[in-house]
Amino acid sequence: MTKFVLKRLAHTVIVLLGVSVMVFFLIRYLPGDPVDLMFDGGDDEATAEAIAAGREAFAEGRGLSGSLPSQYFNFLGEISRGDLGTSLFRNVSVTTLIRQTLPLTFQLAVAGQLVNMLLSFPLGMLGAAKQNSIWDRGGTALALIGTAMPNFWQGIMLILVFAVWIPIFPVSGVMDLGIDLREVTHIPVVDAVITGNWAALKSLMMHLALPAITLGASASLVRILRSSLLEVKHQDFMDAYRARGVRERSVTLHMLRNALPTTVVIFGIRLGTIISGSVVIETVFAYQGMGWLLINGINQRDYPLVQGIVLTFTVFTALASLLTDIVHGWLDPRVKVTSSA
Amino acid sequence: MTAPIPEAADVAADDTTRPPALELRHLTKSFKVGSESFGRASRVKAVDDVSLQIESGTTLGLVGESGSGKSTIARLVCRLLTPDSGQVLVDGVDVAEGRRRSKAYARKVQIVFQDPTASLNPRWKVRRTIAEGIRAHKLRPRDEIDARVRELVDLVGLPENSLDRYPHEFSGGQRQRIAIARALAVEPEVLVLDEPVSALDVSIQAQILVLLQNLQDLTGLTYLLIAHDLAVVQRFCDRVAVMRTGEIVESGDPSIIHSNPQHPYTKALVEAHPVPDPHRRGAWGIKSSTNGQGSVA
Amino acid sequence: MTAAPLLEVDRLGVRFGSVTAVSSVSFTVNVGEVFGVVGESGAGKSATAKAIIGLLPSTAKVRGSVKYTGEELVGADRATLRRVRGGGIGYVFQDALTALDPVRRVGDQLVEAVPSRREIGRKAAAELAESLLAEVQIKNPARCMQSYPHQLSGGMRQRVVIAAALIADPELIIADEVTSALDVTVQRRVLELLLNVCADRGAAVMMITHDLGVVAQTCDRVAVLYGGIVAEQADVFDLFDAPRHPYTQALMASMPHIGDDSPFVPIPGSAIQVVGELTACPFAPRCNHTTDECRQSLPDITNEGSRAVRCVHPLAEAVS
Repeated sequence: MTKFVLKRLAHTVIVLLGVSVMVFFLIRYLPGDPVDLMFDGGDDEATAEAIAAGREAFAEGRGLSGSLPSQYFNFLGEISRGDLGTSLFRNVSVTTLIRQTLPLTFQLAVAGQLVNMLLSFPLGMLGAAKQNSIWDRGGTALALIGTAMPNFWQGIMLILVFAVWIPIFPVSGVMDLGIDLREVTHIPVVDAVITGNWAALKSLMMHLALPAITLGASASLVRILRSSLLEVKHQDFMDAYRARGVRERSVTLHMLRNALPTTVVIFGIRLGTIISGSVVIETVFAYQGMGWLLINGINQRDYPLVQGIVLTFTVFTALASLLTDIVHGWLDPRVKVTSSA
Repeated sequence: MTAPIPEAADVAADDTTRPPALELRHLTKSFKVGSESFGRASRVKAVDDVSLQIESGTTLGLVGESGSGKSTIARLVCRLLTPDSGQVLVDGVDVAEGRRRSKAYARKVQIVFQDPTASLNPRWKVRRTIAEGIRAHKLRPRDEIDARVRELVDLVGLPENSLDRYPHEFSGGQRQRIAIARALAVEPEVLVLDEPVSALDVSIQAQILVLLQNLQDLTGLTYLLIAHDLAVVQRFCDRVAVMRTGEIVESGDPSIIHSNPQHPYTKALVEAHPVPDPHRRGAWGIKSSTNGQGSVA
Repeated sequence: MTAAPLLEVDRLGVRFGSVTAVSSVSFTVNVGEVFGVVGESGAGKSATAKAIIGLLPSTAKVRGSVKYTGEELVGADRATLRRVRGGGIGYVFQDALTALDPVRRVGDQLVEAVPSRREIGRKAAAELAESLLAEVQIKNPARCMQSYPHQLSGGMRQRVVIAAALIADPELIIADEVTSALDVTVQRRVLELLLNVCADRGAAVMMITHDLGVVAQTCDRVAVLYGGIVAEQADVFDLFDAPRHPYTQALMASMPHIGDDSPFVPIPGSAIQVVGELTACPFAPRCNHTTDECRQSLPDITNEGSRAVRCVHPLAEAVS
């Protein structure tokens, strides 16, 4: 087990190296230059010389001078010391920015997946229990529509209906201004519960509702759960339980237990998509998480910020997949987690 | 009918000079088991130094239980697997020699698998399934292929209207006939029959076995029959070889099965074979049930 | 009649939509006997067995009657079915690998099925399960209890499945093609074990198989199924000595015997799926005794002492 985890972590380091190369060079390949953006103020009074000097100092200070390969190796050296650099435009270290926004993205992702599961489990189970019934067709149709409709469009529609026309929910943001929330874990919802700050919790939940529904409404687990339940349903051992006089309720539980490993694996595979999905949704809802920050960084050609966030996403995706494999091995005794991954 | 395959009549005449239709010399094949990452990977010999000969126009039955290596031999003979060492000779020629081997060899040795449902392409009509080999080996001019396909369909006892149907429209026994016709289409010398009837119902098994017997009488084909049913093997084959864990433990004429088994393993197989005769129950150690004297239905 | 029969199946029919899997099957299984149900694929063996303990999918339409110790099981409520399954009738499945839950330990699966586990407690139930594993000759029952099915060998799994069927101390074991996937030497050991354990307990066995050899070696009485009806039912010696139904006779003739050099005698054609009501002898298209009468209506059952034949032209008793 330990060996397996170490091996996977080593794989992750290799993946990170690859991703770092890609993100580093690709973003620099984009047209537009942060130094130009910075000094393209149209300031008539500044002399050309002053601008040139300023540019040079700025580039020097932000590690943007010198050849690209040497810049890359400097960057590698810095991240190996845990330093992701400083944002070009915010004058704050990228690590700090990520530490501020990651918990927000995390709570949105969890809320989204909760919505997904709350929809998927009943619909998937109903669909499998009463195959081809109205419930089954309804659940499958919902999942299909949810998958086919672009997320951002769903988000905009929800804002239009439930925030603009019928103003139940706020249009955007994370929490109402003016609410003071003491930070304990840095995950706002958790902090609000720990400190018993119910006003903050209510505001947080109201702001989370629409983006979480957008993320989870695709009920992407319905079809996975349904098909893995159906697969188990027709296995001999289900009838074998019944033939031994086991109660139907217990038989159903055993069926769910057997469908779980497959569901978890596919869920894990999709985690990457879920994370990237939050980028779009955070932007639509101006929800100041890591995805929103990433889009801002790209627009401003804030190289260190984009690199830092992409690498963080990569680490989380890799960890999620590692966790998935461990959980899968734990749920299904036939799978040996120790085998070469 | 145009004689498709070497003539049976001539075989007996020059029996002395003719090499065996199929010969295996010291054939060995092992497979890796276990996981590599732990350095515990070991090799298991599926076929261990097996030598045998089949005279042209005769049938050799290879019996054994699962894991005995009999199916591996079938795959080695058909070049679906490459042996670790040893030779497979067809008509005295080592098939592994030279680069010509693949296509010419594929024509000489054909295989009929256990499950015709899996071995037939479900999206091909019977006509195409059978014609494919004829085309691939250019055995007939283009305009004669269709007539040849009809001939083969007739030969295996399928109705002529089968040609434009798909495999799923046939019963299991009929599908096996299609598979046999496909194998015969390329005019092979040796037919490897890998459990050809064990997936079929009892009443259909005899149909296929009779067909295979008739085909051999007609064309002088050589059969290697892989099977686990001793009764079928003893009735169908000229010679029998018993395999266990990769080795041939006993071989000879079919009497080694019914009257004169020498090796203890052969004896165990024969004893375990359920004889369809309630008067011969002695070998099985089943206590008579307490209350089972045929009562009124 | 000597004693009340254990199981009475009377004109049982099973339909899936318009396809008739079982047309009309009647037989009785007596206390402690080994009763064979033999037939080819599509004859209705499995559907009959599943109908007896109510394991058919809800799409199946069942008619007729199945009585276990006098209690009707067709259309019975869940509680009755559960009581009979968990007490009277044990079912041994064909494929031991798929008949065990892959993600739960063998012990947990067995203990769950001990009917009295609530009264006697989990520990006593586990001891009972362990003793059953010992009874089916598993050498290390304690370790087997802790194992997952995939960790056991094929023979061990088959033993576990037998133990699972015995857990409620049933009076009838339905063995559904138990050994058809096994090698002959393993088949022999498993059948010997199953039948000896049942003989010791006085439990009857309903042996469902396609193999006439297994029937001849193990059964007391036999029902031969074809096309969803019982073609012939007889004492095993009577059946093999002098089959009365042409299908039984043809089936035996088509099987090669060890030491017998007579040529193969195939049955021409193949079995036809029955759609709708069966209105003729299902074997008529393949039989060489067929007359118009055979095609006009389903023949009645003729009882002759202990045997029953469903044929217009039964073979003379002298014919073998």
